[in-house]
Amino acid sequence: MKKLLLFVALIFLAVGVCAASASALTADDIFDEMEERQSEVTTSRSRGSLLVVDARGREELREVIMYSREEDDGTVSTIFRFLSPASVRNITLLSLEDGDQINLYMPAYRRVRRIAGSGRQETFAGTNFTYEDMSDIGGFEREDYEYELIDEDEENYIIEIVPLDPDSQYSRQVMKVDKNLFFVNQIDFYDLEETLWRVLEVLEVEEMDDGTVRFREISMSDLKDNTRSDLKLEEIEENIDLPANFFSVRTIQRPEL
Amino acid sequence: MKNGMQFLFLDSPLLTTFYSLLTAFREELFMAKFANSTVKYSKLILIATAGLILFSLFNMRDLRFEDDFTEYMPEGDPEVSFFNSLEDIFEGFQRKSMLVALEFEDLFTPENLATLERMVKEVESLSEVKSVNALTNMPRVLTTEFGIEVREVMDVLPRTEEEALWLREDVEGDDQIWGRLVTEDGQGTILSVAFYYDVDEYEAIDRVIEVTEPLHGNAEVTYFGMSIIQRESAMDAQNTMMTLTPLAALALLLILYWGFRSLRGVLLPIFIAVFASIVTIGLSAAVGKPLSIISAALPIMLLALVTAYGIHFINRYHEECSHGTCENAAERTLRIMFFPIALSALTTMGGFMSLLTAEIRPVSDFGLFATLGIFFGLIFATFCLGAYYHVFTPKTPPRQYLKGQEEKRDALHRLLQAIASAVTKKKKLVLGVLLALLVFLGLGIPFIEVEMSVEDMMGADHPIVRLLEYFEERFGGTDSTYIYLEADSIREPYVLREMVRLAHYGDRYHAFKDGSSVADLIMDLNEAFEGWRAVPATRDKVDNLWFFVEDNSYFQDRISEDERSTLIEYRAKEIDSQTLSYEIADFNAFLSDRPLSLISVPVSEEEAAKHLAETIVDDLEIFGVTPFDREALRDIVLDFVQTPVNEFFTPDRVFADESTDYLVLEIEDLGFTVEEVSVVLAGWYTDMERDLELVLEEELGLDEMDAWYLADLLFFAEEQVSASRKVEALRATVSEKVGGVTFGDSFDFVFYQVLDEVVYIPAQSSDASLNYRITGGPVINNYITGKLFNQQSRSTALAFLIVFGLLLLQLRSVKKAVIAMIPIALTVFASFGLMGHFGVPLNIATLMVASIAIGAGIDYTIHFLYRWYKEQDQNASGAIYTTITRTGRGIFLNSVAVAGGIYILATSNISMLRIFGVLVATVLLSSVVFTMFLLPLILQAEEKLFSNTILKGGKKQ
Repeated sequence: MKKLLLFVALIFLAVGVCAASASALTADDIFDEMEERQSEVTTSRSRGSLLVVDARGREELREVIMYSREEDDGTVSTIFRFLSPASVRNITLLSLEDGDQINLYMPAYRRVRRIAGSGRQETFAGTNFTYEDMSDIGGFEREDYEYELIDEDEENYIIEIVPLDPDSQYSRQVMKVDKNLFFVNQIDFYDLEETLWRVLEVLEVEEMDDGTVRFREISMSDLKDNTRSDLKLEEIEENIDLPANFFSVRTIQRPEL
Repeated sequence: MKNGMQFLFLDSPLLTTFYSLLTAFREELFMAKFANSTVKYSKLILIATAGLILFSLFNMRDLRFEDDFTEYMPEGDPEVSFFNSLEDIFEGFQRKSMLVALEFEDLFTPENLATLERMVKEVESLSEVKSVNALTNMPRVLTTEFGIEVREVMDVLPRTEEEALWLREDVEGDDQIWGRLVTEDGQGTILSVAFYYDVDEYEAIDRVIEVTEPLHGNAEVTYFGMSIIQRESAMDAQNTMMTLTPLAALALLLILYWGFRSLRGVLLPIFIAVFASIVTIGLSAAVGKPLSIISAALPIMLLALVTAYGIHFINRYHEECSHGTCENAAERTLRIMFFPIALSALTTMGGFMSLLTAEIRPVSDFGLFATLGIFFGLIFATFCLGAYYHVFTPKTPPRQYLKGQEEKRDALHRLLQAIASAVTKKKKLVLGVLLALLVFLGLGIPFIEVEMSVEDMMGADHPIVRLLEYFEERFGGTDSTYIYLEADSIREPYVLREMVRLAHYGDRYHAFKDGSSVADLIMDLNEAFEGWRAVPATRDKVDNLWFFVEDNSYFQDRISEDERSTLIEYRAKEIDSQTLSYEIADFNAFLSDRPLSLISVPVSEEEAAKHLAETIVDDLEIFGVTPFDREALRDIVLDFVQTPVNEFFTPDRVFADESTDYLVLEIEDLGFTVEEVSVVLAGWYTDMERDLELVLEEELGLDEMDAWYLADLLFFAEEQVSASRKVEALRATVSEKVGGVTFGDSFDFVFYQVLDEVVYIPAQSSDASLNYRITGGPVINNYITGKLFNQQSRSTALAFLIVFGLLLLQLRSVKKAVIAMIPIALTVFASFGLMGHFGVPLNIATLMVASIAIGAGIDYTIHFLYRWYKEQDQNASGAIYTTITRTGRGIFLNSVAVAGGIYILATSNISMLRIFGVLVATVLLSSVVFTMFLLPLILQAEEKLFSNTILKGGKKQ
């Protein structure tokens, strides 16, 4: 569940990791280009659907609404609320400081509880994402990795990324970056046994007038568990006005956001 | 009639026709042709036999032993197929699994914890492994000051001794971990490994052993799992077969050599029996049918039983030779001996065939292969030996045959003489002794117990049993039992509560300890959100919690796809079958009393309130609180049920503190401390006529919206605190009433029901319905055990019927057949008495003893009767003397040889085979006792009562 929230955070962050075409050939050049082409979105509101497919192939579609804001210190605050089905209606997650603090509102209990712990490698209900996945894609910090442009095809640069963190659950990741728009097309995550474990795919993107690219649909598959999570964003509003204390415990306890 | 004796005859046309055929067979109309063909194609027969044996030996390379008790019953058996279907319903129900136990001097050191973590990671990385549950990755739900923390027990590997000690202190109080995943002394721990359903379990286990062996450092590693037990027992069974079969052959050789003084005369029959065993075992391997543990006794049984056929043939062959020349002796022997050997084999096959009716696979398999083995023995001992002697005709028979068949005057002869003397001269004494013996044996019958525990099957000293004991002692057991629960929806609070009740109820049994279910996780989460560890009272609360844990693998694995069924899992201690049977029956009785159909009724209705009070009192009992005055307690609880929550509100500072503590996150979010708000709230209590929102605006400077928000929250928190106080008051009152018992947090489940606003009461039409079913390995074991008596009765009755039919055909008289059945019936009676007196339980091996005794033991009676009727020219005493001293010698030697061969099983490593061997051999010997002592008395009495022909020394008309 918390992972789900971070997944959304990733979407917002990843929107910025897009750019127009370039002719750079080194991995650093590609990342520079991706960073330079980040869009200037500070607040956003999105409605969408989250499709969760479990190992038995059962699908559950959940309607969601999300708010996010890039705070002055550069961190992102996010509210993620489920609108349907009825069993999860109004369950709301509040993520502050890039997910360092997460609060959960359970409407049946009328109570907010802080969700603690779990570490970067923990998975949460609903999706296949971990903190580590999120930080890798949304907040990719180059100094935390060794990386190298290992190949390219007609459409993508292929960069191999090796985490320097000895506790990482991945031995390496292979990232495909679109040659024209400089957004992440796909990331393959390999476990410590060098087996392909998870695959993140961008299923649908929208190219904006200013040359940036906005994700519309993104999917994460866990090949070991045979599960998948797809997030599809249908209504996206950017740079909207939100009250200063919007990202607060009070807000998520309200019946209507 | 042909023999001139006045016996009863059956005159049905069918029997007459069959009898005519047999007569023709006996009178060599057919046998002449068979014998002639055998001689004619003797070389071809020998080549074909050699080919068959080589083919069987080749196939024996693929011989497999498997002993999975869940496959004892036919696939369609409802109990077994239900158990097996759980693997399809629940992801977490993995029959393919294993345990890895690690024993350190102290687990809680950084080095040893690192070893454990490395092992867990290595095992998790194997493609065959679905999941590993260990101390390092055990999920925990912790309630923190602000909320909830879901994490693994060992998120971060302790790096210092101090951190390792903290970890120990952290998990020491967790009863899901301490005593289960970690031993009480903190030295041992366990990895529970589940494999994917489609992997080869044996290979998967080998892979786990392969990756863990190099990593265990200074820890002692022990591996366990049903597949490991099966593999170990299969290896033991194979070893038993491979080592004891030659020993049995040697024992037979020595006994027979002692009896016949002819090495050549006994070697060939033993080879014949060995060949029959090889072909039988080879056949089972060729058709891909694995052998069970009990089948390890098969070659030894065949060896002992089939050898006699060869001895009969060879003795006769040598007798034929002694008439002058061995030329054509093979053909003559075949003509003469095929029928008696075939009859002997048929009765034995009849005994084994009766086992084919058994539903229990190892028993029917044993019956099938033993029948085939006896059949092959018959063929080899007649046609093949005939062909052999035709091709390799000796120039002269052994010397002892040339000397003629003089009566031997050895110790055995003297013993037989004494028996003959006793049964003719001291009939009353013999009868008295026999009757006393039968009465004594009969007294043992009621003490026969059914027992199918691993300890009973394998023996107390068997390594598998010691392994079981180790895991039981250190980790509380290895086996699991389950209650499968089906409902309209598992999410219904009533259903979850029933799961908790059933988990607790099982604690009174050995086979249903430490019950756990998904309801436990729901209660943990409820504690974090609501403050008490109980199943929430409403469905929407459960839905909220469900959302939180629905991706938890422990949770997912125990719920069916449609969320209509789940499992309550228990630890089953290894107990005897009687206790297990009682516990299952008792638990089933409890389940049958549980309401299966319920409607929801507001607690405001008197009936509902009373039912709720009754439920709370019932739950106290289920949670193990006894004894107490039910009536008085129910009235007290009812008072509490009907007392509104707000009566527990006290407008004071303590109450204000408790209420604001409930809202730490919300209050801090508004920028205040709990203390600040508590002071304001306590102040408001002094004049509650004022509007709290206004007070909050004034005192805390909140705007109207935030004041309304905080006031609303504070009223809600007051309700929660009042509710808690009501529950605590009930807890204290009940504690006082039941003698000061302290009801800790584990009783939250019981007492917090007093807050319920809706009560589920039993009804015909329902808002909630449930169904239960007990299952699990021990339950299947008990189910099979329960069938043993029935299986034994059926196979024994069928064995009697088959053998009686064959006797009828041979003796052509109902009376003779009945007389012949008496010793064998008493042998079966004696076998039950022996089992009762010596504490030999009925199990899948011993249930076969009666059938085997009937099939094999009847031969002695037939031989005896054959001689008795042949000696009709003498008076009764003379006929008895001749029969006992002449035929009795053969019977005695044969029975001693058969028993001697089978007694070799007593040296098996497997208790079940040991007991089986000793019992079969003893019972066969007892059939000789009844044949030698009782049958003469019956025959003399029969002669006296009905015909007196022999007594008069004259022939009957």
